[in-house]
Amino acid sequence: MRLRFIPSALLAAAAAVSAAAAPARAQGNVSTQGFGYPPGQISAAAAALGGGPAETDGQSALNPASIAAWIRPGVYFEYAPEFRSVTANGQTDHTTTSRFPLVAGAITIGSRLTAGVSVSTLLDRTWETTRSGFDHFASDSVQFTENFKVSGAIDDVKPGFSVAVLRSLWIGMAADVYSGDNNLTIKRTSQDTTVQTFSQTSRLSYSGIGASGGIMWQPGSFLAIGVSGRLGGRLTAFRNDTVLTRATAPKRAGAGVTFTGLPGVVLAFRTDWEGWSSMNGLGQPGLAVTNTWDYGGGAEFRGPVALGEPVALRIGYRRRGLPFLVDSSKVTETSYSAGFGFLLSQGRSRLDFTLVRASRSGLPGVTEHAWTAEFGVMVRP
Amino acid sequence: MLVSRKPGRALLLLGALVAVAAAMSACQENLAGGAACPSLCPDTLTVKDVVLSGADAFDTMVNVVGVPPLGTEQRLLIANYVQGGSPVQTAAVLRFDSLIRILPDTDTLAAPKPIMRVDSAGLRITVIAPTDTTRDTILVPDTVTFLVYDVDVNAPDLDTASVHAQFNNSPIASRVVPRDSVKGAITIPLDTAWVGEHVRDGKRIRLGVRIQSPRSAQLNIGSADGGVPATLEYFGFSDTSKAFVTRNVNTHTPGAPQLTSLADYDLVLQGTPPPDPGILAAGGIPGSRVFLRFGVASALIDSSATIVRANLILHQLANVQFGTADTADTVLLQVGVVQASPRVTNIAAAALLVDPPGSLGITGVPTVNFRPDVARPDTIPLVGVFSLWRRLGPLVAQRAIVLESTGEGIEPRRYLFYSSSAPADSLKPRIEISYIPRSGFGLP
Repeated sequence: MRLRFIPSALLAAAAAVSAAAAPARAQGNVSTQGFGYPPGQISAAAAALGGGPAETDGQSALNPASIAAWIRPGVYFEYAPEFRSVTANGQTDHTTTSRFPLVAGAITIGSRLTAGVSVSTLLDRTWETTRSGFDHFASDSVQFTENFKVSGAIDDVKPGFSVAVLRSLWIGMAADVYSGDNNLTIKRTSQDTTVQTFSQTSRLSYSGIGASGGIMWQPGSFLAIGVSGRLGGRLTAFRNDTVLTRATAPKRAGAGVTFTGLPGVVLAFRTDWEGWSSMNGLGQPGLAVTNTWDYGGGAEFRGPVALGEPVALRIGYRRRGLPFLVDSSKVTETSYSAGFGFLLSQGRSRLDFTLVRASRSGLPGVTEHAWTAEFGVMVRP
Repeated sequence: MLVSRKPGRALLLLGALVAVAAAMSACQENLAGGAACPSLCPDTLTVKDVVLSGADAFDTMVNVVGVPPLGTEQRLLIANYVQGGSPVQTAAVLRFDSLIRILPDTDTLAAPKPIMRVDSAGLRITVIAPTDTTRDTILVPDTVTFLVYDVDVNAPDLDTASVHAQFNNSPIASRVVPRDSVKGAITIPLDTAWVGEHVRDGKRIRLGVRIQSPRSAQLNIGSADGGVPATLEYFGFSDTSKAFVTRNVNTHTPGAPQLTSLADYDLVLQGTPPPDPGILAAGGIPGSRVFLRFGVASALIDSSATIVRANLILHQLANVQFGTADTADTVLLQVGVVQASPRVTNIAAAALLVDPPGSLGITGVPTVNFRPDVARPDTIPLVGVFSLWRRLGPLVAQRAIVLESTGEGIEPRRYLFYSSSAPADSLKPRIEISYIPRSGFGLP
C-alpha cells in the first residue's frame, strides 16, 4: 500500500505549473494500467480463500458490518510484495513491487457497537519502464534511453462502525475518504554528448469521498452472510493547486457467504461488482475503464497443532477483471492461492501468510504472471 | 481432529521459512520493466526542432580584432618568420616616458643633483622560456639580432600606424646573440650620448624591438602586465656623485588619459590581413575573435520547455594562408562563454569577459580540431551553454559566445566563417534547437 495521509489542502499549496496535458496510459505491464492495480482491500487470510470470506472478515476493508467480527479491540497490518514477470516480444521482465495494502484497527464500545478504521490501497500505481529509441533531429538521429517511473497510490481511508441490531444481524456504515498521490519521473538520456539529459517530475494528488454500508447476518451457527456496497462521491485529481479532472469514485456491491458446518473446515464464497467506469473522467480522454466482476472462493482446514494452537491451512481460487483496459482489451486476472495462519498469545494475535499465483491476460502477445506473498499480522491486546 | 504436534511444528517451520524467504527477497524493490515496450510503454515525450538563422538566431555577429588588447599582453611576441610563404613580423614597443634624471646627494640634507651625463646605457629585456617545450612554433633556430628603434612619435597613444612607420628607419642599437644565449635577461647596449641627451633634456624614450635571424625565429619577452617588465639602465653622473639607475617601462602622455598598460605592447608589423567583408575570423596575428550574441526568443530559452540540443552550424571557408603541412593541426577552435552583463555595450570589452565552458560547469562543448584549410560545415554543440543561460536568466549575462583560436595572437593561421551575409542561405550560420515542451504528464 502506498499510504498517503496528505490533505488535499496541503497538496494544493504548491505553485502552479502551466502545462499541456499529455497522456501516460501504459506502463510496460498489464496489471497497473490507468490509475493502477487494485489489490482488493482484503486481508491476507481472506485472500488465501480467494477472497471468499471478505464480506464477513473483520480485517478486510469491504463490509463495514464485518467490523463486528473483530470481537475485541485490535490492529491489523499487512505486507504484500509482488514478484511479477511480464513476457513480450520474446523478452521477460522480472520486477518486485513492495506493497502495504491494508492497515486496520477496531475497538468495541459496549456490547453492541464496534468502531473501526482501515486504510487500504484502492489503486496502486507503482511501476517503472526503461526503453530505448531514436530521437530524430533536424539533421540526424540520436539514440536515447528513457526511464519512466511512477510510484504512489489512491488509498481508501475508511472509518466506520458496526452495530448489532439483533443477536445475529449487524449493520455497518463507513465513510470512504480517498487520498493519495502519484509521483512521476521521466528521464531521457543519451550517449551523444550533444544531447542533454532531460528529466521532468510531476506529482498528482487525489482527493475524494464515498460512503459504504453493509449487513452481516448469521442465520445459524454454521452460516454467515455478508452484503455490502459503496457509493462514490466526487473524486478529484490535482497537480499542485490546480484541479485537473473530476469524476465519481467507483461504486461497488458485493455479497459473500461463509459456511462452517463441516468439522474443521470453513468454506467461503464471494462475488463483487465494482463500478470503476465512473472514474472515466478522472483520466485523459480516451482512458478506457470498465466495470468489473470478482468471483472467488476457497476453503480453510484445521491443520496440525503448533505452538499450542491448530494451524489453519487455506486454499482458494479467484477470478476478476481489472478496471483499466489495454488497447481496448479487458484484462482478466485469475489467481490460485494457498496459505496458513496460526494464533499466538492464547489467541490474542494471529499471523497469516498467503501465497497467490496470479495470471493476467488481455493483450495478445503479452503474458503476465505474479507471485504475491501476503503477510498479515493481527494483534489484540 | 487428532493430530500430532510434530507435523504441526514442521509445517509451521516450513511455512515460516517460505515466508521469511519471500519477505527477504522483497526487501529491494525492482520496478524496472520494458520488455513489453512499445505496446505497453508510455509515449509522453515529444521532441520538437526549430532551426533559426539571421535575426531570429543572432542579435550580433561581428569580428573583434586585436586580442589581447593593446598593452594587456602577458608576454610580448617578437617574431620574424615566413609560414606558408607569408611573412610574419612582430615587434615590442617599450615606453620609458619617465626617466631618472637626478641623483641624491651624498649629503642627505642637500638637494638632489641633476644627472649631467650617462654611461653604459642599455635596454634590458627578459626572454620568456616557452611553457610548452614541445611547441615548435616558439623557435630560435639560429643566431638572433635584436634591433632597437626610436619609435617616439608625436601622435595619440593608440595611433600605432605612426609607430609602425618608425620601424622603417635605421635602428639606433642592436645586439647579436648566439642561439644558445637567447634566454633569460639580455641587455642591448644603447648609445650613451643619445640616452644622456634624453635624460638631461627631460625627453622621454620610446623604443621598438624586433629581431632578425638567418632563419625564421620568434620569442617572447616579459611584459609589465606579465610582471617581467623591460628596463632602461645606465650609470648617471652628477657633478658630485655617480649611481647605476634602472627604470621599468612606464608611460604617461601629457594631456592624454592615463593608459598605464601602454607602457609596453606588441605591434604587428606583418601579420594576418583583415578578413574580407562579411567573413568572420577567429585567430591570427593580431588575434581576432568572433562575437556571437544570440537572439533566440526568451520564450524558448526561459520557458518551461527544456532544450535538449542546440547546435551552432557554421560554414567554414578554406583558409590556406600561412598553411603548411606541419602546421595543419596546430590550432584548435574553442568556445568562450561571455560573462559580461547586458549592460556592457562595448562589444570589444564583452568579447574579453569570457570564461571557458568547463570553468562554468558546462560539459559537452568541446575544443574542436577543425582544420582551417578545409571548407566544410562545422557543428558546435551549445546545449550546455543554453542550459546555463536558462539557469542564469536574461539579466545576469549576455547570451553570447566568442569563437577563438587556441593560436590567438601567436599563430597566423585562423578560421574563416561565412556570416549572415553569405551569398547562399545554406552558408549562413544557424542554430538548430531541439526541445521538449514541458508536459503535464501524469494523468493516465
